[in-house]
Amino acid sequence: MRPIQAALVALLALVLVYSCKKEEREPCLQPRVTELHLRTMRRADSGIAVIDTLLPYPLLRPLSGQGTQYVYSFGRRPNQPLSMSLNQVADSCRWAIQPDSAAGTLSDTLTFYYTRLPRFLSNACGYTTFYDITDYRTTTHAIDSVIMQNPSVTNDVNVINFRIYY
Amino acid sequence: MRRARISGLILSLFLLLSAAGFAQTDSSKRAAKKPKEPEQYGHQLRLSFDVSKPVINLLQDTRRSYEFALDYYYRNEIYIVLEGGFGSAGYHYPDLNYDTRNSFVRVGFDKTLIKRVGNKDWDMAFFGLRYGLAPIRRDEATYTIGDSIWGSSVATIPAVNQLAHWVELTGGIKVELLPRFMVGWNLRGRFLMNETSFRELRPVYIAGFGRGDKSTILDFNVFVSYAIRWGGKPDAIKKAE
Repeated sequence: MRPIQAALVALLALVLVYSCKKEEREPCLQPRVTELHLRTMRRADSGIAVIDTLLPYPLLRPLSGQGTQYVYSFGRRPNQPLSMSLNQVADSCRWAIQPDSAAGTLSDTLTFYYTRLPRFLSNACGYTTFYDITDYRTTTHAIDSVIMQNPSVTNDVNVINFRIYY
Repeated sequence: MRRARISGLILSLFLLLSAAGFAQTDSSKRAAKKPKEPEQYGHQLRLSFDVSKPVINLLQDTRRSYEFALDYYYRNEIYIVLEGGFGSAGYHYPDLNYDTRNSFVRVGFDKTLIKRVGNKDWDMAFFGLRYGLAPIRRDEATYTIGDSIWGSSVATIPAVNQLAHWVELTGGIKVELLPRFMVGWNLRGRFLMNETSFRELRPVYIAGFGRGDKSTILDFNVFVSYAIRWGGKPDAIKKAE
């Protein structure tokens, strides 16, 4: 066999070996979950400063969700914000928040109104939904006040959207 | 006045010396002039088909492509090349689903690295340059966003027509195994020129280019060719010999 023919056969074999490797979907390296983040605050014992407060045994409960209502209980680390998802099949949703479920404190209801923004992340991650909060409501049984810090709800876990003052 | 005359004399001397040197160089060149190399005669139109792509199509579920080539021997070891083909690809996952298909054309030239030994020698080792263009059709895409609390949502993205264009460098060899039947391979480096046009739902695979999520591609072809040849040494030259 001429050397050039041998080289061609070798190249064809290389083609086959290379082609045997099926192309698989690349892993998704971005966060796909879009959640709204809350930080809870309380006034200092003296002066006018406000500081992060660690709620003892907080419970977050979605209202009017699909199927069984879910109850979340967190053992949060200090300064860790609360996170909750928004309803991507409606333009509003409600969450109940109870600061201390062990002590049976009163719950408050937070209502969020927003614009839904489908967002393409990548072929590996697909689509997710970003939100632009347009309005919000709160009851004040335990909550003193709520301030919106950032209306954009995205997959960025470092963004704090609301501050809840107790 | 005297200074001007001296400058003029110096300039004239300089010009004279330069001319003498040029004449000497020119006469040296004439004396050492190489004999004119014999011209390579004959015309060749070659039709090629990439046999590696059907093999790869069998082994890959998600894409198909077919490539053809037509090249014509121009002169001075330069071949004018026209390549084309078509293909399709699919991206089918539970959360994202769409198909694309495209045709393509590539134009350019090949330049052989080794001169032909004679008029019947059509083996070649070459490098080449191409410009490629591919109109792409992406069908309607469907995506799903899951949510265990509020429920999943399903939506569609309308179909769209896109255009990809690129430049490529190629090199390879082609040898004549049987009279007029040739086999060869190319290695190609491709560079997408309009990457920013594909921000959302990039084609998974662009026939003629490669993976749609890459802007720089290394690829290869294995061609089987048939050559149509005509012409030869002119009768006047044969008689003179």
